[in-house]
Amino acid sequence: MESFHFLLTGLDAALQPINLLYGFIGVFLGTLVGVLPGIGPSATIALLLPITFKAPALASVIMLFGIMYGAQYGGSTTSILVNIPGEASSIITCLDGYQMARKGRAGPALGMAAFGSFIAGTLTLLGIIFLAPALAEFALRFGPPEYFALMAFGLTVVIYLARESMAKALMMTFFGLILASVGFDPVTGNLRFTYDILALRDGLGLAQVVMGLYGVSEVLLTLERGVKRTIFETEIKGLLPNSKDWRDSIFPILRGTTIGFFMSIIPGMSVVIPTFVSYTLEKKLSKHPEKFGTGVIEGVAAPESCNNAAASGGSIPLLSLGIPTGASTALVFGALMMHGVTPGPLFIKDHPQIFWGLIGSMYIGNVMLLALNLPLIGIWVKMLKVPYAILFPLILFFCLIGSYSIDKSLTDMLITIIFGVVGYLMKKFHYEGAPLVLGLVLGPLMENALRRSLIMSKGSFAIFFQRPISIVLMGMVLVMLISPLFTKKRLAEEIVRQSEEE
Amino acid sequence: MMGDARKSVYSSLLFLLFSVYISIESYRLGLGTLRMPGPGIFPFIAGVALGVVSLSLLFGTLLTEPLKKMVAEYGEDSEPINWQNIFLTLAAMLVYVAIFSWLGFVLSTFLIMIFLVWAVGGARWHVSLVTALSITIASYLLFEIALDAQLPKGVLEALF
Repeated sequence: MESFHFLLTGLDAALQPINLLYGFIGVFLGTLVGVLPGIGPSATIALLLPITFKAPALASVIMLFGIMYGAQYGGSTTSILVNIPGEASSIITCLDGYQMARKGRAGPALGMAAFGSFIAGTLTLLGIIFLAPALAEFALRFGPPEYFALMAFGLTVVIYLARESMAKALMMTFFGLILASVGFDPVTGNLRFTYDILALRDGLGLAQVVMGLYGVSEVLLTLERGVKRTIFETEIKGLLPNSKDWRDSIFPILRGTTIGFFMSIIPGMSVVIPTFVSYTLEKKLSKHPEKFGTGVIEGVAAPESCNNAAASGGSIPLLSLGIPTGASTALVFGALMMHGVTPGPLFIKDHPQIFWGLIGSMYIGNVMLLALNLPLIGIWVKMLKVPYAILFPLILFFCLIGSYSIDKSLTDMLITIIFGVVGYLMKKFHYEGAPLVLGLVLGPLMENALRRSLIMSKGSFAIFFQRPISIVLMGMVLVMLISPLFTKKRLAEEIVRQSEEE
Repeated sequence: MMGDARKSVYSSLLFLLFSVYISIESYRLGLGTLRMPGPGIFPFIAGVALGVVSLSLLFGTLLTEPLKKMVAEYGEDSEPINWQNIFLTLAAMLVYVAIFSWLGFVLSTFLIMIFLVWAVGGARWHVSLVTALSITIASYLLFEIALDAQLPKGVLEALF
C-alpha cells in the first residue's frame, strides 16, 4: 500500500509542467533517433548531457529515460517500412514486419508494434515498482567484494553474449578497463596516463567516447558505401489491428514482456538478445512455425514488446544497485551524480521523489509515445525521406558540438573524432563496442571495489570466494568463461543463428 | 582488404604491443602492495590480462588457420570501400576543430556543412548552400539563443 501512495505522489510530480515538457522532449527525440539510422539513444543521451546540467535532477532523468524507451518505439518504424532497423533492438522486427508491409499490412504491423510496446511498458512499470525496492533492500548487505563480483558478472555476461569471438570481447573489456583508469587516481590522487593533457585529468569523458563510437563511426561506415538511400513507397492505411491480430498477438506480447523484463535485470544484458530469445520462443510455440518470416503479426508483437520491456527494466540495476547496464544507463548515472544524487541501494529511500517521479513519468511517457507513434506516424515517415546527404553532416555536427559543450574543450572534440576512427576500425576488424563501453563505465567503480576489498582482506584475493553472494557470482563468472571451451556452440550464437536462418 | 584470420592476427599484435606498454607504465605508476594497493595496480592487471587474451587470440588464429590459407584470403573482401568519403569526412572534422575558436561557431559550422553536403554527400551546389545556411541559422538559434551554450564567436565577434 505504501508503494501505491508513493506512486500517486510520483505521478503527481511527473505531471508538473516542467517535467511534462522534459518528458515530451525525451520521448520525441527518442522516437526521432529511433527512426533515423546512424544515431541511437546512447549518442543522443550523450548529446543532451550538457542541457541537463541546468535542469532540475528529476526533469533531467525523465528526459534521458524518455529517450531510452522512446527509441524502442521509433526503431520499429524503419524495420517495418524499409527493412532497415533504426536500432539494433529492432533487427528481429524486420523479419516479419517488412514482409507484412510488402503484403500491404504495414498499418497493422506498426499499430501492433506500438500497442505491444505500450502494454509492455505499462506492465514493466508494475515490475519495477515491486522489484526495485526489494532489490535495493537486498543490496544493503553488499560490501565491496559483492559489488566487485557483481560487476565482474555483468562484464562477463556481455563477453559471453558476444556475437563475434569471445576472445575479442574479452580484449575489448580489458581495453575499456584500461581506458577507465585514465585521469586522477581516486584513492591516491596520482595522475595516470594523462600526458600533460588537461582534458584527460578527469578521465576520458564517457559522453565524448560514446558519441565517437556510436555516432561518428556509424556515419563513416555508411559513407564507405557511398551516399544513397532506399526510397520509401509503401502506403500506410488502417493502423488498427483487427480482432484476429489481437488474438494472435496477445500472448506473444505477454511472453515477450516477461522475457524482456527479467533478462534486462541481469547487468550486461543488452536490449538485443532478449528480442532474439522472444522471437525464437514464439516460433517454437507456434502452431505454424513455417510461416514465421513471411509476415506473421506475432513476429512483430513479441520482439517489439520485449525490447520495450527490456529498455525500461534495464533501469532496475541502475536505480537499486547503482550499477549501469550499458552506455545509456551509464550516462544517466553520470547525470544523476552531477546533481549530487548517487544511484545505489539507498537511492530509493533517500530520494523517493526522484525514483517515484521517474516511474510516474514513464507511464505518462508511454501514453505520449502511443499518441506520437500512431496518429502522428506520418511525421516519422516523412523523416525517412530526408536524404542522407543532409542527415550525416548533421549527425557529425551534433556529435562535435555536443562533445565540445560539455567542458568547452577542443580536446574533447578531438577525442570524439579519435573514438570515431577507433570505432570504425573496430567494426572493420570485428570487435564489438558494447564490452568496451561497459568496461569504461564500470572501470572506476570496479577499481574502487577491488582496492577496498583488498584492504578489507589484508591483501587476499580469497575474499571473493569467502562470502556467499560473491561466491555465487564469481562461480557464474567462471562457468561462463570456461564453458565455451567444452561446448562448441554458445547460447548466444545458437539463438542468433536460429533466428537468422530465415 | 583482408580476410578474417589476417584481421585477427594484425589486431591482436597491436593489442599485444599496447598491453605491454600499459603494463610497463602502470608498473612505473606504482603497484603498491596487495594490502595497500597503489595507483598502478588496476591498469596493470587489466593490461596483463589484455596481453594474455591477445596472445591466445594470436596463437589460436595462427594454429587454426594455416598461413597458406591466410595468404589465399588476401584481397578477397567483397565490398569496395569509398576511401575518399572517409578521408574527406575525417579531414573536414579535423579542420573544423582547428578553425572552431578562430573563425567562431557560426562561420566554421557553415563551412563544414557546405563542404560535407556538397563534396561527400554529392548534392548540387545550390542545395548544399541552402542546406548549410539553414542548418547554421537553426543551430545558432538552438545553441546560442535557446540553450545559451556560449560557443566561441571568433572573428565575427567584432561585428556583433
